[in-house]
Order: sequence, then C-alpha cells, then structure tokens
Amino acid sequence: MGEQVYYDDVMVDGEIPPLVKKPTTRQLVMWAGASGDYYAIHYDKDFAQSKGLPKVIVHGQLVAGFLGQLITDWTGEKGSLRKLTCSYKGMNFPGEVITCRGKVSKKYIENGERYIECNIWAENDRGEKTVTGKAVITLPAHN
Amino acid sequence: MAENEIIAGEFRDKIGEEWELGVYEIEKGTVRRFARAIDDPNPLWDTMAPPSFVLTIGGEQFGENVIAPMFRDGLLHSSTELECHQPVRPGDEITVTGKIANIRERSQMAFVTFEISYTNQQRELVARCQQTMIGYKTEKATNG
Repeated sequence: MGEQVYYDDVMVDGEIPPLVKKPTTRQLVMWAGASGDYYAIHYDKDFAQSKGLPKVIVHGQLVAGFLGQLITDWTGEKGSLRKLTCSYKGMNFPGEVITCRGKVSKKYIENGERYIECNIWAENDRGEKTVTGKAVITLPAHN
Repeated sequence: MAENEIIAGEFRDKIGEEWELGVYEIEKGTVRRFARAIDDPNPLWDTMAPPSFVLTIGGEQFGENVIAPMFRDGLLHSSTELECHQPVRPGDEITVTGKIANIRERSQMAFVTFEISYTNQQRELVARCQQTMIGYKTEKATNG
C-alpha cells in the first residue's frame, strides 16, 4: 500500500504494481478453514489424483483473493473495487510462484463517479496465465 | 445410469428456484482470519472485509448442501463474477440467497452457473455473484 492513487493520475495501458505470491499447502489449509471450502483436491494428494489431477491444486478463489489484493493494494483507502471477474483457466500448484498483474484498459466518468477498468491476471513462473479477469474500480479525484 | 451422471438428476429440476442459504453474523475474528489466509496485511481489514471475503459467506453450507450432493464425480471452479455494492463489516448480518441460473451439459462435462446475492441487516444489497462450476467425468480428466 503506497500513497493514494487518484483518477487523474491513471493512464490507459498503465500497469498496476504486481503482487507476487507463493502459496504453500499450509496457506491452502488456512484458506480452506477461513473460507469453509473443504473440497479435498486442495489438501489430499490421493483424492486429487483420484479426480484426475496431477497433485493438490490451489483454490481458484484464493487466487481471486490475491487478485482482489492486487487491486486494493493499489487503489488504497479511498478507492473502491466494484466488480471483479475471474476465469480459472489453468491450475496453480502449491509451492509455485503466482504473479498477479493488471493493466488499465479504460477510464470514464459516469454519474459523477470516476471509473477505471483493468484487465487482471495471475501467471505462473512459466508465464502461463492461469487466471484471467477484469476489475472495475472507482477512484477519487484530486482534492 | 445414476452412477455415471455428472450432475445429480434432481438438481436439473431446480433451475431458477431460489433458496435462502442462511443468515450469517460477521465476526471480526473471521474477517481477520480470512485476510491472514490470503496473507493480506492491509490495515483496512481491521474495520471491513477484503472484497473477496463475501464470496465465502455461507460457503461451507453451500458446499455441503448443494455442491456435494449435486456434483457426482469431478468438480472444478470455472469462473467467478463478483459485483460489490458496499463493503462487508464486522457486525453485519448477511443473508445469502442463491439459485441455479443454468446448466449446460456436454458429453463429459457440465457447466453449472449459480447466482448468489448477499444482503445486510438493513436489507440492502451488499454484493452479487455468479459462480460457474465444472462437473466432469473422472476417467476423461487430463488437466485444465
């Protein structure tokens, strides 16, 4: 969380400061407990393999949480996340680096509110986009 | 046939039917534990929940009462679309309402979209989401 970002300072095609994560199986268990998602493909290797998966996989919605953090770290106290969409395209595995990135696609004022739209995604260390989506946020004006 | 189905048959008749999925009082410790689970140290989460938190309200009950009996074989998450109207704060009482919006079946897969809405103790809409899950036949699963 740096300084407050303002609508006027945001440029279309500008990049959001990336957020790097490396979830461990411990973090998956913490998130399972915090979210109530106890589906065993996220902590039981044998069960995951019985479902055709190579090993335990990261919850898609934990990555959605990382992408939410990417946005809220950037928009600060006075910004507001209005929409977040995530499409879970590939699997993330615990122990691997997940880098969350975003790029501003559009900015506009509607009903007196200042909107920014961003393309957001999570990529693994092979550069594959495992989760892609969009965020719509509102930001304050200067003063 | 029943042991081969991807989606339990009785759920096909429930498309569009609304269920109340419970009323949940949001505790400060629950929000704090959630922020810690994402490893998100933002001090804002002392007084409000991170935006993705709302998606987990009633999640355990939804998993047990809907997802587990509905998906008979493999299950993966396909997408999430979240619309935030106002932040969730500790002390809020959130009512969760959901329905199956549609089911699209292919040969070895079924895409099921749920629409869920979250309202607070003042009956104001806090958030809405669409969650799409993929049911699949295990023997056909490779990855993705």
